[in-house]
Amino acid sequence: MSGKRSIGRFLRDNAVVLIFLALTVAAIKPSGYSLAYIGQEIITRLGRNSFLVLALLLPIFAGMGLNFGMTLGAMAGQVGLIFAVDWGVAGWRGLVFAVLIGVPISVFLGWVCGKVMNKAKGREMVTGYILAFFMDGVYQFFVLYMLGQAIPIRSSSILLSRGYGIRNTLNLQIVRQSLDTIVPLKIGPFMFPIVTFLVIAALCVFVVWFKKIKLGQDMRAVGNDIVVADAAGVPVERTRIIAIIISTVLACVGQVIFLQNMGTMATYSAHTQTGFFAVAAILVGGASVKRAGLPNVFIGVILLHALFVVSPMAGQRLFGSAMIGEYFRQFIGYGIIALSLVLYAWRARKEAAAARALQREGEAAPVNGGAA
Amino acid sequence: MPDLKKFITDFGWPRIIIFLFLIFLFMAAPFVNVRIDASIADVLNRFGQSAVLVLALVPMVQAGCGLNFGLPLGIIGGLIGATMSMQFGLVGFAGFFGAIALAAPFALAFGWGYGRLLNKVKGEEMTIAMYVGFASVMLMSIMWLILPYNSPKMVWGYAGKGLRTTISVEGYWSKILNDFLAVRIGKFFIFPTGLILFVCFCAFLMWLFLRTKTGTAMTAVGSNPDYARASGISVDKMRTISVMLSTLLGAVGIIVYEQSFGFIQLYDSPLFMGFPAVAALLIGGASVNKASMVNVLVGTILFQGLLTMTPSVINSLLQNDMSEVIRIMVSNGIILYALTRKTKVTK
Amino acid sequence: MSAQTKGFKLDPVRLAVRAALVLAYLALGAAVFLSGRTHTVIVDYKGAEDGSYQAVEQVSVTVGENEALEYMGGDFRDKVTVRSQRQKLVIEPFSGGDKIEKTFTIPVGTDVILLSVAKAAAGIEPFVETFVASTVRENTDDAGSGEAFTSPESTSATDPATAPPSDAPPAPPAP
Repeated sequence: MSGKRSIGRFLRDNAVVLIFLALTVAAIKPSGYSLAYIGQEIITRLGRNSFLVLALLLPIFAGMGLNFGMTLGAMAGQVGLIFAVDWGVAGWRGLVFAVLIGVPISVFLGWVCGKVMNKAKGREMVTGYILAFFMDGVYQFFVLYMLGQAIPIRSSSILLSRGYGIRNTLNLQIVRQSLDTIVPLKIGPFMFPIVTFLVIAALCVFVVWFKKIKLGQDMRAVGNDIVVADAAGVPVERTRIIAIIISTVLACVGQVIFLQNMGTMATYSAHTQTGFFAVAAILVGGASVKRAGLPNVFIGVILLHALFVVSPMAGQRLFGSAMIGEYFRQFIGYGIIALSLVLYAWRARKEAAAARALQREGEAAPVNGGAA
Repeated sequence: MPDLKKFITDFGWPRIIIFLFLIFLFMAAPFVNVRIDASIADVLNRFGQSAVLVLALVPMVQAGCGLNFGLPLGIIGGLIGATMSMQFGLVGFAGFFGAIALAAPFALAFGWGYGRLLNKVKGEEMTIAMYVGFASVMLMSIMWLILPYNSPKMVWGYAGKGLRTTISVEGYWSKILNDFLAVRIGKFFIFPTGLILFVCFCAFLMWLFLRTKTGTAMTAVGSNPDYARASGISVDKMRTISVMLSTLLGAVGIIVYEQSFGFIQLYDSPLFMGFPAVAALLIGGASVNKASMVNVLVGTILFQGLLTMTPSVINSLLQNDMSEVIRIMVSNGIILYALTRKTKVTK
Repeated sequence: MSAQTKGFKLDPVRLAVRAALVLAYLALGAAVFLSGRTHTVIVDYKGAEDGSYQAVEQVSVTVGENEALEYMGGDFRDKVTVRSQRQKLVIEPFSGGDKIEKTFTIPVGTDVILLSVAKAAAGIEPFVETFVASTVRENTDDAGSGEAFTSPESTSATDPATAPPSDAPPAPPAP
């Protein structure tokens, strides 16, 4: 009896992960890819994306939901990379240079984002989303009109032919995969971007450590209940701003890692999908708006990207159109976000109702009705 | 003086700035060789084009479901209707109203399901609405490829199947409302009478609806759910009705838009169509949980005026194409402003 | 407690720590910038027009950590990229004669320098000079202003990094 129930509970709690696992496994065969190929792709994409997804954790701890405002950090990272390429700072040093330029910008942007979100408590997610759109305008203004005019750009090869504004595609040849290949490691048929993995591991250690220190505890308290945390003397607004600042800075670093692996940068669109992919990944990994951990990140990246690898080919083979696979992949991305948000909100309401019912039972003979 | 102060706080600084900016644009226009009459005609045209889409947001705002970022769902309904109308070869007014009639069942069905879904996730509507909208656009993108449309005007020429990305409605019902009773004054100014009449008619119907028993009940649900429940109104039912209405109007809105624009845009083009509509409504003075017909009409005029005037005036003024950046910042800035106002979050 | 956090300006220790952190940040930035900065070195082999120093032929030339360039003779230029400012130049005749080893410094702000192998072999200092883009312009028949970095159009011609590669040398000026 209880065994059956716990299986049911397991299925319910991990519905998203299981649906995704089934989809991916089902799509492997029709895609026609070998497992070795898929394995290598997943290893590459783990290195490429994990850092960005990890950036989402802290705001979730702080009860601010999925930080769609992480796009702001990605923009800061891209500005850093533009300068690194412009000045010809090559190799991993170029990446460090880009990060050093991007971090102050993302601290500032994160602070702005945190301030704005504090004014929109209860709808942080949609606010973050719109804020990212808004900042996209600012970013375009900066990169398309300021760079090369108000701010000098040295190498004309990265400018548009009109003399100012950065080209649509920025070649990152001089920093391409410079982090991934500092220490090349090949095990069997697989190449491991070992240094990137070490950086990601370091961030994981940081997250675990952060949860233990006072600030991390405060963050959890704020995430559990703002009113209680405030009563207990936790500086709520400040803690929330710090969570967003750290997330934005991590997104900045993550975007630099992402782009060094890609090797080219779509100057005006690379950041627009950052939040979407990161959020989709962490949700696929079984996280919810209020609860997420390190395993969710990695399970999510593996599952989401495994499906992304196989779905275009599977679409091609099954329906005779690669476009179908591409649309399917986007549908899955958006759909999974919608589904997990719905499941979470649904469950939260149910639990709240159950808690109310329990409370009513506990009070033995309460006033009938109340504020149901 | 206190009146002015109160007016400013009520109306909000961003809106005043946008309003002044628009006036500035109109005043600057003659100096940079932009014709005022042509601009006004353009603004009127674009106002009519998108006003119904803005109107579509009102029911959900009134019922406390927030800004309907899920508008793409209604747009999809409209696209189904429009493409089916063309597939059946309906021309002229029959084509236009046929499109609406064909779209209505789909839109209502989508709206019903969508409304039921939103009832289960109260408090998180906006984020979820956005992603439900996105996901449905992507799902429909697959459908556009595999549904058995075969009108040669609509499918890819070489494959003979799968709808094109943009389909011209020329020869079917292109500009059918725009040209109805249109008044031409001078060389550059055309008043799109039919279009404006249709918009006013829709707005009037909505105004009327909000004053019916159902309409007032819906508003009550939005402004005070507890009170509404206490007075025996079914909150969930009212919310579902508001979502269905919103989705239906979204479908009508996109068909109106298409007849004026001249093309049906499929695949991922509906993705972000909800955002300009939301921005327009908010510029008109609506908040996240309160919107009126005045907000719709004023907002659409202001927003579309801005969209029309900035490219022509700013570009000739600054000699560059900065208008796109201005558009992004203004439309998202105003949404952001509305989201950060202190309003009670409905639970 | 809160008075202390608010009044950190009055606390010299905190101030010093913060200043040190900012300095360390800037220093790290400078370090990666200097060590990661890439420069393009155009390796020129020809001798002086007045014959004061001669081109050395049949040599291998190594600039920095790049692979050795092999020069047989003729009017010819090579292009290599180096990272950071102090670089080593090794000229080694194929015949196994004396190896010439030199070091040179590239100014940080310079993107492209011209390195004359003949001058280095003859012991003339300095054997590197800041490359003026107009040198290339003469060769590529690209008339216009000599200011390479503000010229808006034909970016491929003005940017030395994308100038014609060494295996397709530009038309030599008249001897």
